[in-house]
Amino acid sequence: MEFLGIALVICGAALAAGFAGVGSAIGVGIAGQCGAGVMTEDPGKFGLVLLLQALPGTQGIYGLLIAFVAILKVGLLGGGTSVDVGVFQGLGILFACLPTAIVGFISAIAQGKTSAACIQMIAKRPEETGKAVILPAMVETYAVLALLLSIILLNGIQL
Amino acid sequence: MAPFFFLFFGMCLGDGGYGLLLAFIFFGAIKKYGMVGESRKFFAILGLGGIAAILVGVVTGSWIGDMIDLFPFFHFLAPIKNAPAFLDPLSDPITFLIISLALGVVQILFGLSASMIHNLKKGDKMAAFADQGGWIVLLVGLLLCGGGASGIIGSGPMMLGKFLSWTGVIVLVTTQGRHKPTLIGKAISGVLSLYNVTSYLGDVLSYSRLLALGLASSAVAMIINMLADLLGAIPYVGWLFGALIFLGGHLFNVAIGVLGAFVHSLRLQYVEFFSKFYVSGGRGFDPLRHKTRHVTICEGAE
Repeated sequence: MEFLGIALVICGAALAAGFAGVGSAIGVGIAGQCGAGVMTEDPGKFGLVLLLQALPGTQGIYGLLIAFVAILKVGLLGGGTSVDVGVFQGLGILFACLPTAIVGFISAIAQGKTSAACIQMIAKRPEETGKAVILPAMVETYAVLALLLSIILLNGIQL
Repeated sequence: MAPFFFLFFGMCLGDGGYGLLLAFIFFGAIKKYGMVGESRKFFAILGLGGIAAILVGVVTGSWIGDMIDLFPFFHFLAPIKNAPAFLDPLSDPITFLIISLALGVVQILFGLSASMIHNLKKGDKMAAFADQGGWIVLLVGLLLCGGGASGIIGSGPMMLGKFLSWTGVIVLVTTQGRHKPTLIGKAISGVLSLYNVTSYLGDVLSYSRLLALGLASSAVAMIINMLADLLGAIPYVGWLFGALIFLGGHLFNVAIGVLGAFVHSLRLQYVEFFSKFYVSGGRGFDPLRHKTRHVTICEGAE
């Protein structure tokens, strides 16, 4: 029983890094396929295409960040002495990781689709890059809000 | 709008060391390559954003994460770093959140005032006082009420807040339906217009991204430092791996951080700020002319 708390924390960290990372991988993949199509016509757009392809990648970083914050909190990182984690505290940390995991997973895919559409937009109108960058960022808003909630919750859980 | 943008950019990046790097790279590039036109403007924006990030770093004491505290050979810098730093977003995120939201309130009120002045200049006094004036009075009143209820300010300002809120409500309810033909239509759209208070709430909460992105970049920087420190403990070759992780990790984090800071600051301007006063539409005037990409035409040169 005494390791159940730690196991729950690890579960939360794994969910956050895993799901957000999978979402980002799918999103970046969708945008990349579209970008490859645009670059067969105009290889000079590589810089712009890469910028737009990178936008859905941030959810994976948010997930990794939350995973690190969670395992840092219980002292799993760095081989230091681990803190005594009760079952309910472990459950709390697991739940605190969920917003980033769920929202990161789905929003990264949606953002990848928007990025792909915006890559097609700059294929015709490269002068509108500023607007093309804003549209995927509208999707990312919700991943940022989920990240914020996860951080505040993790910060608030007392060990 | 420019000062807001740089402030937001600085808060999203939120690290003095990264700011120094940005300012150095982009102003250096402008100087070295003698850039002109659009790309020079863009580089200057990023450089100025870097300077804003330096200022934020001074206040929060974040210089490439916790580099100065973690690595012994930077310890001599610690007194300089700690002297002006009074706000640590990692240990006290709520204060930073309140600052972010307060900035949002300031910017939204600023946008409403801009719209009010625009309407006054057009001679549309009714729109200026009823639409923008009513909302400004109501929002300020609600803020004072909220402040009073949470005990930050005394009961005197709270009474004033209640008075302002009710004034705003009355102004809005009586005027927002003025374009409707029937009396019932006027009353209904007047009352329904109060529902817009949720959109102002959403706009203000949207500024919480300043905290989230600032926290994310400094926390990732801290984790990179920690990993570099862990690898550095390997005997003989550890310092090499540590240095590689340190350099590669921070370059990656700067790139991601700049992308996020730029995009999200821009969004706050476009979505939350512009919607208060900017009337879109029309087409940009694009006269027939030579468009050159690699040739710069100097006026008056023979």
